[in-house]
Amino acid sequence: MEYVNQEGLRIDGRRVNELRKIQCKLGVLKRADGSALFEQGFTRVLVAVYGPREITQRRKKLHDKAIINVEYSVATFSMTRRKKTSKRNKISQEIANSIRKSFETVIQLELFPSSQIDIFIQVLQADGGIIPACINASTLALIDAGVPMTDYLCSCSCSFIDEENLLDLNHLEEDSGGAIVTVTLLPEYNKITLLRVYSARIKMKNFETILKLGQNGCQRIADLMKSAIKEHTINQVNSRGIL
Amino acid sequence: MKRQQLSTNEQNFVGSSLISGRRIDLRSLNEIRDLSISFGSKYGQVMVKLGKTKVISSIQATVAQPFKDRPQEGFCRVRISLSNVSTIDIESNRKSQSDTLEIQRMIEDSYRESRVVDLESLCIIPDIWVWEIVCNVHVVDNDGNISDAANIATILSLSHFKLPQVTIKNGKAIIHTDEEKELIPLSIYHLPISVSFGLFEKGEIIIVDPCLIEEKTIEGRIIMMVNIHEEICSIRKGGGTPLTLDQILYCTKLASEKAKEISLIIDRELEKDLKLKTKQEYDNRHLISSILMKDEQTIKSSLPFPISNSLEETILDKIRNIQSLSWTNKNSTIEIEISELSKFTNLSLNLEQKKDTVQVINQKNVDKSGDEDENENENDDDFEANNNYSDDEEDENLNQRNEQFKEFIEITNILQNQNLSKKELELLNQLNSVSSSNNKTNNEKKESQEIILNNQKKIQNNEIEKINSKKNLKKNENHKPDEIDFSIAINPQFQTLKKK
Repeated sequence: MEYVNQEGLRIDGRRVNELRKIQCKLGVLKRADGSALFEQGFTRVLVAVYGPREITQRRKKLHDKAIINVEYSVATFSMTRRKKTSKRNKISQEIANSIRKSFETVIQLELFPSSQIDIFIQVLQADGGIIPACINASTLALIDAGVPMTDYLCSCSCSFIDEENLLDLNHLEEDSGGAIVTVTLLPEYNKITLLRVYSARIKMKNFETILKLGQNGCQRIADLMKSAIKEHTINQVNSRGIL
Repeated sequence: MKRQQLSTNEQNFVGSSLISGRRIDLRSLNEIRDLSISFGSKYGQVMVKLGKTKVISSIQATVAQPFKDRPQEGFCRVRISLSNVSTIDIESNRKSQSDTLEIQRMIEDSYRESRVVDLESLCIIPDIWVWEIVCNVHVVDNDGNISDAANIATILSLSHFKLPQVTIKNGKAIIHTDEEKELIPLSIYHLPISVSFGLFEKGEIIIVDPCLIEEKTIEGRIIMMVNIHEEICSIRKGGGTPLTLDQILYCTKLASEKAKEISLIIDRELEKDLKLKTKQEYDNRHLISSILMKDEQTIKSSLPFPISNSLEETILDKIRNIQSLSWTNKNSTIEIEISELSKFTNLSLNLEQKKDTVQVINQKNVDKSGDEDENENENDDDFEANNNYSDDEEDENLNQRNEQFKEFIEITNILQNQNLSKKELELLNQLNSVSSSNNKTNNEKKESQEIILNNQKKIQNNEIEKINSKKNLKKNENHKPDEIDFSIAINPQFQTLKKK
């Protein structure tokens, strides 16, 4: 199967280094402190943030910091085949752990001792690039909740298929058997927190170019997110009749 | 019970020494701890020590049904288990195993995704039976960097392990035992070696192979799996201090260097042990076959070294194992013993007519005898006598060997007399005929029988009585002339009958 045809177009008509269409909606859930609905192509993720609030699991209480509690769940109707995966599944737990660790570096936890911040992630539609979408949606929801952070967290996936470096993979490209690299970036500092290389082997000489492509993609997503947040705050301010 | 945390004093000490460029165990920043490897008695059993971290792994191979959408692929799974034996930090419930989960999933997934083992070679009958190879890794002592140690253990286990051979006849798959056919090693494409780094001081200090105390003070970790062909198999960086692109690339270069170092050590140790194992197997077979022919006293005198009580027990255990094996895998042992037999029998025993068949068997034994002469330990006089006899001593050796042969036949009779099919009985009758043709009286025959019986009384008392009564009946039948039809042993038709 050809993932990049002779004219340089991919399966969905994109170029090699083009992102999918991104749509962000903040403040989707009224009861939650912060929420976001993030769409990247056909991948849709809904995130709700509760916190910082009093700690519910006394065993995990830290006297000097807040703890982050991430729950990751995939809807049964999100994939092409109906599949029920529990939250206690090993894969779900691993993903939740990696998301939690990456946010621990960014959120200013020392400001809230003995409290917890809950991030509940629900994948509504899965079409490739699920973990990057979850992280992007979580940052938006955290900003909507007003949790103080040192920087955004932007993430995207890239790969090396058909001797081309592809950015922002969809479902078919992920299953192609090439290596997948998911990069999570702090755009201000240009540093990488979460890096996962899996699904196949990469030559070391190609690795640098793939990483750079991933970094560029993350920076562009960061710009898109910032503009979406600006819009949302302007709407909120207008709706309260301040300006 | 809460996780054990380092005191702030200890953390500060480790941190400040790292800033001044030193590690607490006096290694340099890029140095791995001492790696020592030891193998177990079976193929696939490995113990790896990386400094004080100790990891044991072993392999189980079972037959399973393949997935329906991949009918020709076998399974290769890696399971890593930590328990409270290794460290107090691990609690028994699942929720607290978040850190170790990452390591487990990384190794399991990367082995499957980067295609370490050729899964299609594990296929027996497509869509029905495939091999399922499970590598179980247990962490015995956790002094930091479990992922590297566990990874080295799995690579070694997989490269050390050997599968039994399978032949397919008439739609049935027959798995041969170790003694029938040689075991074959797995087909492995490449060996991924994991190198884990600890990050400190916002990524400016990067240490290789952190020990446990360092693991608790570092601000972040990055684990890279690299192979010697300069390919990255997987990278896991789960949070922790963020790194710049250059720092990550520096890590990849370091990782490839370390991978080459480690793979050199691995190859060296593997070769050593595989050579040892093949030599041990060979020695064992000869020892056992010689033991079967003799009684206890001659065994003790003929062994090339003085034996202690424990060795004696082990030898007797081996005899019992073979004999118990022969109860279960009766049919398969006939073939082996006949081929071993020809070494001890006089080659001129009316076998000139069947030279071709005998030569096939003898070639195997000739090769073995060639190796044997090189071994310094083999001082067994009887062995040498059998291999290098001159024409003058033929007659004397003939008698000796006929005795041994006779005893051997009687052992086989005792062991294999139950539930034999007609053709097998014929063969045994033919073998018996050789013993009866010798110029010995019935008394001497009875004596030799008694010797054997004494040896086996420990094992099977009641059954021996039954067998003796059967034997007396058989001796009264009319025997055929002196001809051993070795062709039956090699005849494929006969083989299928035996193996049912």
